[in-house]
Amino acid sequence: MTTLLWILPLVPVAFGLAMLGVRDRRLFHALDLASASATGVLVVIVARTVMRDGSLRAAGVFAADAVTVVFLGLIALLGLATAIYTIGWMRREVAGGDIEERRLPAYFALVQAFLATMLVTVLADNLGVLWIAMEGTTITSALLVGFRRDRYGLEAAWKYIIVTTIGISFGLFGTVLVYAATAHALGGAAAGAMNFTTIAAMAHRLDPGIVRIGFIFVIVGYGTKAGLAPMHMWLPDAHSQAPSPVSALLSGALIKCALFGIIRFHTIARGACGPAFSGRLLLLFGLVSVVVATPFILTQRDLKRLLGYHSVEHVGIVALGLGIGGPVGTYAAFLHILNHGVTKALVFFVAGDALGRYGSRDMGRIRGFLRAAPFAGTFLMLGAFSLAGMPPFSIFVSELLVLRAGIAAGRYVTIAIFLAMVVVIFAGLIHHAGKMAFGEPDEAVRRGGEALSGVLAMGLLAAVMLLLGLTVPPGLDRILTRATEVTLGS
Amino acid sequence: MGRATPWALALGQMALLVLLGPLVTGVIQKLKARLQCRRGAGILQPYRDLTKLLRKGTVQADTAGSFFRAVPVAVLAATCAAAALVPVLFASPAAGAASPLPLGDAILLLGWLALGRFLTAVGALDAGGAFGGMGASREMTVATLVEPVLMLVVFSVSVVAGTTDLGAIAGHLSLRRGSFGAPDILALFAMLVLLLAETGRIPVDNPDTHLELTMLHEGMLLEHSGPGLFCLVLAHHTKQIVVMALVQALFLPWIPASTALFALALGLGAFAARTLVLAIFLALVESSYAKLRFFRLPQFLSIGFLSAFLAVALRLL
Amino acid sequence: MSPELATRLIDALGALLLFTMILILAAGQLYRAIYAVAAQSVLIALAGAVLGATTHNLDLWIVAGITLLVKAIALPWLLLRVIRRVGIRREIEPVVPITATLAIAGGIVVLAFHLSSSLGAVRQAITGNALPVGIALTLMGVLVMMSRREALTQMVGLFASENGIFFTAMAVSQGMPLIIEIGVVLDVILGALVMGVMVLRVRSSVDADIAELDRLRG
Repeated sequence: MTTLLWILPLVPVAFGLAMLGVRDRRLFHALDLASASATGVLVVIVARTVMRDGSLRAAGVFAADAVTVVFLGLIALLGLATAIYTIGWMRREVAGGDIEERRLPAYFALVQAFLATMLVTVLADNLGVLWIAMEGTTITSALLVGFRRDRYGLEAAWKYIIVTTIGISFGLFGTVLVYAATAHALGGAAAGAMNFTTIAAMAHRLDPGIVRIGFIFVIVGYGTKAGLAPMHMWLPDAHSQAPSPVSALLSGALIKCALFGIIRFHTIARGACGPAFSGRLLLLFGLVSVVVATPFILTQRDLKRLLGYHSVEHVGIVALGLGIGGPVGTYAAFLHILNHGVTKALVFFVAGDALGRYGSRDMGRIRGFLRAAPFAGTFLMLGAFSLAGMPPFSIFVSELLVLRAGIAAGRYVTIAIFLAMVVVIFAGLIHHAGKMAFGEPDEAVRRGGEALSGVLAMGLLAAVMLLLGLTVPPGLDRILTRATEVTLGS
Repeated sequence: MGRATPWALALGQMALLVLLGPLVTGVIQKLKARLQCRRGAGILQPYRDLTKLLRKGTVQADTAGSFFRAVPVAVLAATCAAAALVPVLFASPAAGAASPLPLGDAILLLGWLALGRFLTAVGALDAGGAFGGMGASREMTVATLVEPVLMLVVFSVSVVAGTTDLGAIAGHLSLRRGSFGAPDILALFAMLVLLLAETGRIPVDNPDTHLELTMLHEGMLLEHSGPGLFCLVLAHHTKQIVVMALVQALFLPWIPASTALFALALGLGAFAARTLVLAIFLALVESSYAKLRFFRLPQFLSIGFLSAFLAVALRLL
Repeated sequence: MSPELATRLIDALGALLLFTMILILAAGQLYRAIYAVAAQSVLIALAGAVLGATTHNLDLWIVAGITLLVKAIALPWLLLRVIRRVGIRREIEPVVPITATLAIAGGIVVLAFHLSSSLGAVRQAITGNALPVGIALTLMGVLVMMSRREALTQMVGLFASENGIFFTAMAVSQGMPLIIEIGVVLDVILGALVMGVMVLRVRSSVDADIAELDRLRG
């Protein structure tokens, strides 16, 4: 069973290597789908094993507990949806001359490498391996962000790689400090001092002072990668300039992986310094993110940049949930990770469609989307409503849970600010989406002709979104509850 | 021949430094010439220049008064007083014991040097010439950055010795020979930057040029002539060797603790060797770099400031 | 090597590291900054050797050797090659004036030392003053990155920052596990390569300098 943990990241790697030698476009998509499906199946098996047996551990390098399962599920689902969506998207891109055929192997291989590094990140038990994998995600995704090689793409890629690398270095420093604390508590022995399971078990024995400094470094460092304000400057650029499927993965999965790192250290810090310290920091960063993102969302003209700032806001909400803490808050945070990942990927798919159809990201130029592409337009409205936090969609549920947790914890000021921001964003988002969806499109815009694959992918995600908005299936509920317990250290 | 009295020792040291100052300058000039593939003037050339100045008459601007005539002598006196304070030939016999010659401590030394600089600047202003004013203002700008750094460096060393008396510091350092600590590295670097600034060498100032627009020190000396100029030039040489001796006292001391004649000779030999090393350093720096433009000087000097600040911070934290 | 001697050597190396960091902060020309960061990496390698001799841990020696090869020789050489291809010589005027940068750096060092002096017994887990110097170097590396516009200087700041982290990591108890250190170094190399490629690509395809790319706003 533990060998599964080793096989899981190797699947995308193997497929990626295979893709390097392929020329036929249809073979690419077939391999892509096969990789995503295989990963999905393995994730399901791992999930069942973990829920049945408690947790899986492999040689101190990998480990899978309920928290891991949450993230694995998200990555696998988004990987599958992206693989389906890319079929139609890539055809349009190559036909339009935006991506040359000879660069296709590089693209697909990089996406597989990207997925593999993300899988390693959430599977990592060793904090050093966690860091290495995160740096790996940065490198692979930076190459993808700058794939188009135009002026803006390169600027975004450069900002992305420089800012996130320095951010992750801070995370490494925090890791070193926690390692120092653990080694000291173990009496100088280094064995197992880098493993999360070991550290979490003895967290109450760690010196609180150094863990405090370490956690500050970690939240600033991995928070940069997650897109918490005020370290979020790279996010709108990178997520808007990247190819749309990559944007979906970046916003949907990658920033959540950075949050995974923060969550692990949150557990350690809770054990060592008591729940107040790390919770308060998370609360602060979360609130700042929500507040900072709001004006930029309102005044935005570029569709994908809007979505980027939206990701900043929602990452802030997750941090808020974690910061408020308690079983409800943490449960809400995990649920929001899933909900936002799914919804954001859906809307990025729609944005990719719009970009291909209208030739511009400027929301002022996108008009009459519903008439030009009925399916995509519908999904646009659905996605926008969901992002804004309307029932019966999933994000409404998780935001409501965060609210409930906040009120129960007595954090009235925080909740008040949060509510105000959410209302403002709701109005702004509906306004933008409405302007884009209704009305008459330009004559130059191609109508109809929607790729079946795109519709399938978007439909899949929309279905999940709707499902999670109506109810949380019992299996998922159990996983989330267990993840909450692991994080809170009970 | 037995022990020399402290007063004789102090006066002798003062005379020694004043006499050796031009020699050090001559050595540096010769080294620079050699590095630049020239033959260069002889080592004793500065002495010849000084005696030439003594023979000449004085010409003074109409607007300058008796104060202007008094400035060179005052500057020379201040610098000689500073020369008496630096421990070259003697130091405290034991750490914590009072200096055998309680003339003053490091702060007084810095004060004498600052007084000399101030008087030169004021004298230049008194003459009423444009170049004098410009040189004086530039020199004072440099001084603003140099004086505090000197203080910081002295403090960082004196924190260890527990006193600012230079003799006690030198004695203390001589005894604990091997403990050149981490902050001392930073303080030494700051001191070397200061050495360049105080002696008016490239990259801070060019001592060879007499172009008024490019120099700091020469601008202030422009209006003086004859014996007045002799005093100022001699003071400049003496200041150079005093600062070198200060560097040695703070960082590289090996100074005899007794005043026996044999020990004095040994100390003199060690002093000469260390001064030669510093002279080589100055010559190398002068031949390797170009003079910095004036507005870049604060950046250069603030490197020294930061080093000194860090040295003190590391000592105290 | 006795622990006391090791502590004193680490302290001295820490002071020298701070000194090289000052040189990087105040460097007016790119190649001076690159030489300074190369010297810094040599010092880190020396620190690794000292700690390896103290703890008799072979891993530290290997890490020291790798640091020397990669961060002191290979990466600076890579940067110099990029400079030669792109043809930049002088640093563009930094965003923050150099004197202000140096003042902030002084504040950072004081902050780092103050922070680590507030720790308790766990302070002994890290040899000498490696922790405050590490914190100071990391933060000052970020200062370099934030106060400069030239892409290569930003990379130098990144390397300096990572040097600080390495310094602390090596001084913790018996050093971090070897696999992790190697993985970290590999990642650093890959990252540097990708960044170098990006700088060249910007120059070749857009014919501009990265510092001039600032259209994405708002």
